[in-house]
Order: sequence, then structure tokens, then C-alpha cells
Amino acid sequence: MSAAKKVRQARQVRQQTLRARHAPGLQNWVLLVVFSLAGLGFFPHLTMVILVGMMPSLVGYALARGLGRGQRAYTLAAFNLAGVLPYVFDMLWGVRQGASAALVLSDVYAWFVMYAAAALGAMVNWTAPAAAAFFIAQRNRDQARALRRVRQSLIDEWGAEVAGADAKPTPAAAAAPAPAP
Amino acid sequence: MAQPAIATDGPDAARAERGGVGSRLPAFDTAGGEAFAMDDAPAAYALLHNRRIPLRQAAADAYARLRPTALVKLIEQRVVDQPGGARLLSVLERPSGPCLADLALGQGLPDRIIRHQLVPAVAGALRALHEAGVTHRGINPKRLFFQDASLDRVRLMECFSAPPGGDQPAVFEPIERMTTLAAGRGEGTPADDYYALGVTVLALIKGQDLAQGRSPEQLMAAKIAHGSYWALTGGAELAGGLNVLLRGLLQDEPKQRWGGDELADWLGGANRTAATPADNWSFARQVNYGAGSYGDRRALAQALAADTGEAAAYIKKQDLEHWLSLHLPQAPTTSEFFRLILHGQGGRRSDIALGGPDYLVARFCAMLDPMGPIRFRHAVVMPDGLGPALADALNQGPGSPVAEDLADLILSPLLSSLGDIVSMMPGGVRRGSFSSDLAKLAKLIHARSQNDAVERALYALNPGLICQSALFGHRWVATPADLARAAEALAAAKANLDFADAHITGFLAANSKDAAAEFRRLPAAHRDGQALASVMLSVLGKLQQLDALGPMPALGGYFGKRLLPALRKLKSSSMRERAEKRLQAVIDKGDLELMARLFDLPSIQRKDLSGFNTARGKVNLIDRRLLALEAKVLPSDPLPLLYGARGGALFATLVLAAAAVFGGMS
Repeated sequence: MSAAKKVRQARQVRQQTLRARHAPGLQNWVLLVVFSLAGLGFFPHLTMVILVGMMPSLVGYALARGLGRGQRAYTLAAFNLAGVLPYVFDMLWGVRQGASAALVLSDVYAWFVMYAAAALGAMVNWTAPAAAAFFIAQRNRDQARALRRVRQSLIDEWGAEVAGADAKPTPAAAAAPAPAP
Repeated sequence: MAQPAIATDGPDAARAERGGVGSRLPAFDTAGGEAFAMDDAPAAYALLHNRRIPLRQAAADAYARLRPTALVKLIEQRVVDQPGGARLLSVLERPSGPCLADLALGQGLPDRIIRHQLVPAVAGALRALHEAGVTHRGINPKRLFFQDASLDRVRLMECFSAPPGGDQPAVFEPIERMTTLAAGRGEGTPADDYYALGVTVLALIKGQDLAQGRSPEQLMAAKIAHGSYWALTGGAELAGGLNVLLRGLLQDEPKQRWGGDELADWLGGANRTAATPADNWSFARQVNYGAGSYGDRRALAQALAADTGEAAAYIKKQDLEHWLSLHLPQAPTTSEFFRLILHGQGGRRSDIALGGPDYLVARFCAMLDPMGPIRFRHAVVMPDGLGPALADALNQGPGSPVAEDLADLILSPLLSSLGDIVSMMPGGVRRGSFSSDLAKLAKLIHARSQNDAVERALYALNPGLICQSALFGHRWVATPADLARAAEALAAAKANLDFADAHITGFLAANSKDAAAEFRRLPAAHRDGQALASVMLSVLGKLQQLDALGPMPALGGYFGKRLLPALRKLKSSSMRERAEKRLQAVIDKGDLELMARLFDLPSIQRKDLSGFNTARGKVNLIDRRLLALEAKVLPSDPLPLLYGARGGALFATLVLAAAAVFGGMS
């Protein structure tokens, strides 16, 4: 990794760490309430279904803390929405077109789909760091291997002294005449 | 120095084995060489020069330009092998007539010989020499011979084999030069030659030794007291026209002394008179010192120099400003001048105070007698005689007191102080002429920490001196190119070449500007054999190139052997292998200049060290990075959290997009 990239990465971690210390901003909630009220005013049934169906995301967003909380909340919301969308489309264009919220919400399977999707999102949030850790560790191992090769070539070129007393040159380099004392 | 042909084979070789010479001719010997008859050339004689005495290079070179005069002609010069080492052999015209000194003994020479043969001949020879820019400095009756038994032509012997004035009895020297060391009398001026001519004429008239058993100091005192004319004629005025000649030539004041023009007028019959001697050396008031009273500055200077302890005590007791106002009112009265006399510190901030009694007395005497010699312990020399005096003193072997004193004189700032004093005093020589004698010294030995400073001075002041290093044994090394060739021969013979010899580095530094610049880079050359070898390689490489000396494989091998250990110590293995391969190729070529250029050891070592340090920095950086990379990565670490969240968000976006598309389609 280039030095510039490392610096950028470190900066991002710092910024995210700082941001993570604070609770989510109030303005987002205000926006949500405004849009909810507007929706309830114009599309009451649709809005009710969305609000109820996206409840896990709202809770997840309210409780999210730590590094990457925004993205985690997004992940949960995206999966949740993926579960809600079929019923929204149904109410708009499908078999339940014009149906009331009570009709949709009385279907237990609808609850299952919407909340299972949210659960899937939560699972992705839970497993993603472990997967990232695995890939990062793999990348580190590759980098370490390359760096060790470079280090050895420097020792072969300049002698063990360049790396300290316990460094050893490779057998090929050791066979070449060493510098005179 | 012009390179004489070296006779190494053929008929000359047999002669060369015994120097190409026959029986000895002691009458023609000089302080610088021994004279021999030439078996196959009775009209010539051979002068075998002493290896350790410098040739008067300017005089020898002037011989080539001289028109025919009474001076004996130089026929040829060559270097011949002798049991004691290669020596310069000069073949000169040999007068077969008697020596004028022998003829004049007891009865003196007739007037007509002096008036019509001696004086015109010597005057013509001197005029030719002086026009060529050199002085003879060896005119005395024993150096004058008749060409043959007809006694009608006087010949004057050569003047380049001995130090100037080195062969002269003190009586033939003017007051200011007569008490110096014989080898330190200096090149002098044309006026000194005419003085010597005057004394010679008087000696030949009287047919006796004018010194009459007196020591140089006694003679000097007599000349100071009565003037040279009266001191040498014994108070008896000579009758006839020669009287005027002698009065003119024996003037003690050089500016009033007859020169070539006056002599030519006198020879032409013009009515010349000698000037009344000027009195430039008397004190305004007599000086009481020791048991005596002195009216003459030069006499006091001589007395002070005889016992520096007592003299220093006397000087320190005086209030210098008051003393000068009383006795020497013409001296400067500035505080800078007083500081210069008492402490040796002039206007230059870098001057180091020299307060020892010997130094103080030397400065005080220079003030009293600015035309006279430097008087420093045993070293009593004229400024223009420093070179030959140093050569002569070093010849006397280690521990010679004169050599030690001259070395102290040369290496200390005393010379500069004396130059300043002399130039500030009325009647002193112009600063330029004093400084020109020391100009080479100042440049070459400015770094007094160099341990070959005395040798540099020796060769700088004696351009006709061959390299005296024992390394070259019996070889003739007159130029840096000779030195390079000799070194190549020694290397080819697998001799132990050790360049850590002050004579070698001093000779090279004095004779080669490039060498001087190279040695200036190396203050402690003799303490570090590797560094000296590197510098010598560079110097010899430049000589090889400048003088087109051809390949020198033996020296290449020698320096290669010295370079190899240093190259093997290089830390970079690739640099090491490359250098070793290239070195072998260059050794085979014998190109020292290329070797010096490619294997500039200090530069290579600097590059190697710089590379090593850079590599070490890289290794340290890598080690730190490895520590970070080998640390365990946990899901709770910031980076996995961040990247995991991003990855999850990306995946969620894809799922949402799919849901939107497929949900919309259905």
C-alpha cells in the first residue's frame, strides 16, 4: 500500500472514531417525522405499512454506535426495505392495490418477510467485520511476505550488519565472499 | 630541469662506469662537484656534481643563452652512473694556462694584465650573465685562469655547480653577506659580483690573502669601521688608475658601487670618480650594550645575535619607543611596528605571538640591519640563500642544529614578521623581493601540520635538487616524471615501495601543482597508508597522462594490491564484485590515471557508506512495518469494522436493487 493511501486510511479511521462517539443527529429524526406525517396525510395506508415494516431499521438507526454505524444502519435499512418493497409494490400496482394497511399488516407472512429481511441485514452487519478481518489479515500476510523478500535482498546485498547481529544472509549470498573485516 | 642524456650503453657506458673521467683536477673543484680530466678531450674537463647539493638551475639554464664570453663554455651535460649513485656530469671547456691566484702569489700581477685582460674579460662575462638574469657569485682569484700558456686571455670558471657564494672566502663578500653560513649567502645582486671583482683585483694586485687570518666577524668589523677599501688595502692608498676602479667597486653601499656601465666607462678611458661613501648605518647616538659601545647598526646586530639571552634581556629592559627616538629616529613610530618587533604580531589577526628570546632578537636585528642576514640561533642566512642553506644543513644529517633552526625558522611565522619589519624600515629591501623568495614557501607550507613542510620548502627553494629519498637509492630523480619512472622500475623489481617519505611527498608537492593540491586534501597522509596510496595513485596518474609516460603495469599492480583490501571492505556486495572485476582489467592496462579516476577510494567509500545507511534505514522501516503486519487482526479492530460496514452496505445495496427490480417486475 502506498504511503498516501495509508495516510488517507488513517485519517478516515480517525474521523469515523470521532463521529462514532456522538449519538445520531436530531435533524434526521425531525426529517423522518416530517416525512412520516406528510406520508400519513397523503398516503396513509402505504405510509403505515412502510413505517411498521421498517421499524427494525428505525430501532437499528437509533441504537447504532461505534465505527461505521451509519453504514451498518444503512445495511439494516436496505435489507429491511428489500423485505418491505414487494408489499409496497403490491399495494401500488399488485393484487393488493388500494388495500388498507390493516389488510396487509394482518398477513403474518408479510411480517415474517419484512422482519426476516431486517434480521438478514443484522446478520450481514454482524459477520461483515469478521470477513473484513479475514481479508485484511490475508492481505497483511502477502505484504509481509513481499517485505521479507525485500529485507532479505537488502541483507544479501549489504551483509548481516545492515539488519543487526541476528540477521543471516541467504545461502547463495553467504557463499559470495564477505567484506573483509 | 633540462634532461641531460643518460649514458647507459655503448662506448659511453664504459666511460660512464668510472664517470667517463680521468685523473682528478682539484684546481677546478667547487663546493658542488669534483673536477676530472677527460681522457679523450684534453681541452675539456668533467665536473661530477654532488647529488645532495642543488644545482643553480637558473644559472645552468642561462649558460645555454649566453653569447661567447670569458666564461668557460658548457659543452654538454649528462647523467652518469657512479658507484654512489647516478650523478650529473658537466663537460666544460678547460683552460690550460695557470691560475691567476698562483701567478700573483707573493708579487702580485702586473697592472697591464689586470687592466687589459682581467677586468675587461670579467666585465664582459658579468654583463652577459646579468643580462641573462643571473649572478656569478663566485668571483675570486682561484676561479680565474689563463686560457693557455700565452697568458693573453683570462677565463672565468663556471658558476652553477655550487651554492651562490658558497665557494667564496668571506673577504670577497660584501658586509651584509659575509657572516652568513657559506651556503646561505644567497643569489645576491649584480652589485655583489662587482664587489667580488673589486676584492679580486685588489688581491691580485697585492698577491696576498686579504683576510690575513682574520675571522669573518673581524673582517666585518674592520669593513664597518673603515669601509671595505681602507679595511682591505690596509690603510694604504694605491697609486694609479686602478685606485679609482677599486674605490668604485669596493663601495659598501650597493647603490653607490660601480656597476657594468661605470666599469665600461672606466675601461673606455672615461674620467670616472668614485662617490664618497654614504653613511646610512650609524646610530643617531651611540648604543651602550654589554661591554661595548656601538655606533653602527650592523655591528650592534652582530653583537646581539652572538648571545641571544643577554640580548633579549637588554631589549626587554628598553622602552622601545624611547630607544628608537634616541638611536634610530628614522624607524617607524607606530604601535603596530612596536608590536611587530616585541611580539611578532603585525596587522594580521592570524599572527601568533612569538615571544621567545631567539625570535625577539631575530626581529630586533632585522630592524637594525634590514639589508643583512636573518639571524636566528645558528641559522644566519640571507633570505635568498634559505634554499641552499637548508639543503646544506640537511646534508649534515639528522640532529644538525642548523637544520633544526632552519626548520623552526621556515615553519614559524617569524619569516613573515621579518619580511614586514624589513619592508617597513628605511633602507630595507622592497617587500616584493623578500616576499618573492618566500612566495613558494607560503603556498606550499601554509598547512604547518603537514609533516613534510621542511622537505617541501627544500625542493621549492632548490629547483635544481634531485629527490633525496632513500627509496630511489642511486637513481636520478630530477622531475616528477623521473620519479614516476623510477617508481615503475622499483615496482617491476618487486621492491618495497613505501611512499610515506617526506622527501617524496615534499618533492612532488614542490614540483607539481597538481600534486600540491592533492596533498593539501590529506593533512595526515603519513599516518594513514591507505589514504596516502590513494593520493599517490592520483598524483602518478596525472603525471602519467601529462608527461605521456606510457603504460605502467607494475605500478598498476602495486596500487591494485593496496586498493584491493579497501575494496573488499565495501559493504555492498555488488559494488565489491564490480570493483574487483574492473580493478583487474585496469591493472592489466597499466593506466594509472584511469585507475585513479575509477577507484577514487574516498568517493567510493562515501557512496558505499551512504548506500549502507540508506539500506539500514529501509530495513528498520521494513521491520517496523512487519511488526504491524504480523499483529493479529480482530473483527473489533477499527479497520475491519470500517471495511466490514462498507462491504455490508455494498452488499445491501445490491440486494435492495435486486429486490426493487424483481419486485417491480413481478
